[in-house]
Amino acid sequence: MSPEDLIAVLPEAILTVVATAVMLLAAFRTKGKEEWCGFVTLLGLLAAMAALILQWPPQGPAFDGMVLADPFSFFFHLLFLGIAILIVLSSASYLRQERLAAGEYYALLLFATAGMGLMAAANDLILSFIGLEISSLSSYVLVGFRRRVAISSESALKYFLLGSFATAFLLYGIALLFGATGTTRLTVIREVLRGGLNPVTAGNSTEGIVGGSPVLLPAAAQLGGEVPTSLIALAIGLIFVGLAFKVSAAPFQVWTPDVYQGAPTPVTAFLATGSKAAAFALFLRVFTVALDGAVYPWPSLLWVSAVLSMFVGNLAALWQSNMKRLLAYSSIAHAGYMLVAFTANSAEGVATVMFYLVAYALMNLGAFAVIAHMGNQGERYVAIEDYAGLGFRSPVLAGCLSVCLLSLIGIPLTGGFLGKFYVFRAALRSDLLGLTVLGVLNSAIAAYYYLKVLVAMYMSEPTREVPAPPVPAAVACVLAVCAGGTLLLGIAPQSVLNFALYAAQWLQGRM
Amino acid sequence: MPNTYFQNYLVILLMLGVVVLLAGGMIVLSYLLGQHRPSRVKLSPYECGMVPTGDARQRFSVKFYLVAMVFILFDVEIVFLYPWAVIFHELRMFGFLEMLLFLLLVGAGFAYLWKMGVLDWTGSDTGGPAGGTGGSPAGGRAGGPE
Repeated sequence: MSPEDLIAVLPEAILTVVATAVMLLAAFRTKGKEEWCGFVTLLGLLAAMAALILQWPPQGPAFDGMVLADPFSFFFHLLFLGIAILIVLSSASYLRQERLAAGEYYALLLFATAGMGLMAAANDLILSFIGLEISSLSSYVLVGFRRRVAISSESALKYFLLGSFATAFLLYGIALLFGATGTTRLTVIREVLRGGLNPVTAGNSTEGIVGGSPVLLPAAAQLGGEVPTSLIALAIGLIFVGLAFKVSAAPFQVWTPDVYQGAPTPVTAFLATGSKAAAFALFLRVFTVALDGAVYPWPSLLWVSAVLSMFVGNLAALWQSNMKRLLAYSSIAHAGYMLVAFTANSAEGVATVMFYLVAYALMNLGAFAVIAHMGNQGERYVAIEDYAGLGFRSPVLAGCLSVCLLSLIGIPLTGGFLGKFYVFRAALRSDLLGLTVLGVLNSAIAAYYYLKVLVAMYMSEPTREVPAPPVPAAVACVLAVCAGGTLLLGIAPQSVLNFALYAAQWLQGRM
Repeated sequence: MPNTYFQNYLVILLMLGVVVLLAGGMIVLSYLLGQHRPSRVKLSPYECGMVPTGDARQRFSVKFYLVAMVFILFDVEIVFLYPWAVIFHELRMFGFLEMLLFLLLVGAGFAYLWKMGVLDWTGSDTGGPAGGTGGSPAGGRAGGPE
């Protein structure tokens, strides 16, 4: 192991060490441990961010090509760490109010973030899988963190069972892909599928699976060096199922509303932004790097899933009266928009997904921070009607939520608008006219249910007494960052977009 | 070109057949050849030679599950230690430090569990020594309705 190797995984290493430290701190400190744990967690996240700077300028592959600390991974690391910091800030008051064990919560959050980082940086399906499992297992526990509340335990169990199934699909897909190509390295799979590398010897190359002679002869060895297309098609399908579940794209979205509703609100925000972004990072890397040369036309799979996600998400959201469920269905729909850009299968499309994830993270974190704050003890006030008259009772809170909701609709001057604009532009440039029309149609449908909340906030009288506790400083901080960031992305998107484009080109052009 | 790839699976199919024949044959043969003198004792569920008492479907203390999880923790540790020990010399210092790190992490997890009172079976069931409000996993009325 060289120092370069260490630098490539330094953010994850720091997160893991800090997570363990937080865990022990919670166990061995008796007084004021909530504050201490939160503080150490924040420091750890900032330290991981600082360690990220060492990865710039991007270096070559680390750990014999297993880890790629490229601009793509850099971008997503920044996003994950930013999300985690905002989640920690908005969690502190929530944890105190719900009397949850802060130490375990923060430790799990850090572990999940470390797993997500590995998902973005992994150039090997095995490492991707491990990263995915680290983040998933932590999220399963986090979802059920309000263990005295039935709905929370129920959602954790649902998430765990369905998630395990999805993981099994993914793993089966990985196994078949390995069987067909003889390697799990994404970049090597790409070469094999393009016909530039003989699958029989792929395992022998320096980037190969064991470095020595291949233990298992790939299926292609028996087909005279030809990669079996049926196996590849099956592998793509299975991997698609596993990843579509994680990004909550239809038709694998069934878990989303229940889990989002039952999870503690800050955890819901983390699932909707962090987990989704990590799954998309893996999705993008596997499909645009490894399966780029596949004969099987996987964009058609994405096309169907994108259309289904948009319609299922938006139509079901129309009937929701619970804010968390509403945003869950909205999350499905937004996964659909991102899949539209993904279907374009171009560097611009990849960059658009990345940009959209940033915009979506900002607006969603802001919205969920308001919901967590408004929910009060035991999350009692999460219905849309509880927001009636909020615009007059707490104008600033309502203002921040309005900015986030307007961005979710896609009103100009917000990040959400530009995100959608770039999505449809990328789709049109790849001649996906039908998909673009369906996407624009869906944006129009979506406006209705977001506006319903806005109307409740500004144009209706409260039907029952909803307490309006003062906003804690940390939450105010989160709201300022989210609302400000959303507007900033809508006015000056260039820096984020250019970086995303640079990372996307690096992802596609390299190797 | 004939697709010879799937012919490899013929061997597995063959083995599957042999397995079914052998296992099925044993059961069928012992059923046909053996004597059948059922009695009350013979038909009762077998429980280590003990006379079964009570119903098995009852609530267990959640602590059993926690201990089982601690067991898995160390089980996995051993799973990693064995292959590591086999190629210990080839891995040199790097392997040693890596395993030390791994053991430290496992140890940290164990220290956490210990401190949270998972191994504490004697005390009252109001939680471990560090159990704050809703803090300890072993806290609360174990297994009881919330």
